[in-house]
Amino acid sequence: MLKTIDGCIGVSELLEAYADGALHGQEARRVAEHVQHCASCAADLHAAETVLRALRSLPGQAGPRDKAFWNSMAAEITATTAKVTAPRRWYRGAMGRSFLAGGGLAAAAVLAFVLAMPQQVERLAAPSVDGSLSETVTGLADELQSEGTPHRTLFDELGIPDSDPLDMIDDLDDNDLQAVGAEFTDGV
Amino acid sequence: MEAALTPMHIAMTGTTTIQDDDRLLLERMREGDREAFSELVVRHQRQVFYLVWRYVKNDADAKDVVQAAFVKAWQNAEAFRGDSSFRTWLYRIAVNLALNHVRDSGKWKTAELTEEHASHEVPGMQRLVEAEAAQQLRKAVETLPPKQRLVVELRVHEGLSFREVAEIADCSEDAAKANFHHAIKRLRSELGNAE
Repeated sequence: MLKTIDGCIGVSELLEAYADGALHGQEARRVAEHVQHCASCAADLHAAETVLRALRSLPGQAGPRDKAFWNSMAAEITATTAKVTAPRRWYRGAMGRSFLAGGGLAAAAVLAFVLAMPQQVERLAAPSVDGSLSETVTGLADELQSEGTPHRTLFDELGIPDSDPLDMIDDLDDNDLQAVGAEFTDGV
Repeated sequence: MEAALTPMHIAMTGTTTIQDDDRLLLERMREGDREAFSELVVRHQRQVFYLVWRYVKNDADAKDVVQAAFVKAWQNAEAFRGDSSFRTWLYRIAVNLALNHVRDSGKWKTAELTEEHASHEVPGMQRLVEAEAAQQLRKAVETLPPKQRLVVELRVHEGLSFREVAEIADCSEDAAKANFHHAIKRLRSELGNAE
């Protein structure tokens, strides 16, 4: 039977998922009906099933582990996390830093106003207020400095970069789906 | 982000799923509860270890990467939005670290056959042929483009749904299926050429 190009578009790229039992409902019915009358896709489906069967029959790479192995690994992980920072709280995150930075800037602005206009300060604030403002600014500056200090994590120790290699992979994405369709239309 | 499960919710809806239990544990972990974190480690360390092992190919490196993945999960629990399950989030962290590790160490090793495989009850010559075919197939999987390989590993060996695979691979479900399609086609072609 001749391959029906139009009908194959949108079906042929689903054959592997169908062979793997991952399609349901309308999508699965569409593939099932198509392979009934398309010999080419039926052959591709059969080939995909063969490859998948072979993949599933591959032996486990790491081999079996005993209970002691898992217990030891869990204990090591728990012990390591005990040495590192607890889950980040809001005041440790970027938002918190912005908030603290904002507070610091506000306090610095008030201090600049106080220093620049001493006569007005005499009218507006008692000497004790100057003292507490200064302490506040100093405290915030110290806090911001400590927040800004890079915290060494286990990743730094292990030399593992915090990047996301998957983001850098130029493989297939949503845009490529167009190209997949184009493969078939080009052949028409 | 979905609302956190409360004891009342559980009482009203009956039994919880593993994902629900994970969410409860994650909530506690976010509060700094180390016992909840330990429970999550015990639940997921095996699957994460086997997944990572397929990339790094030795116990010591796999253990280091798994440990680093859990530590990263612990440190970033607060930032986890809960759009995916804890498991898929953890897998994504682990796969990224494994890929970084392999890239940095320059190790793209070919799979070694294990004793487990060598002990199959088949006659000598047949066993050799099967072992070579398995080695060939494993090598073909390892030379797939990274995202295609990830989709195959997660789908075939971890048994994840395409939705979960898509979350880990950071793409749409359709893109995950398209990657799967191209991966299987490529394996089929390479195995055909080897024959």
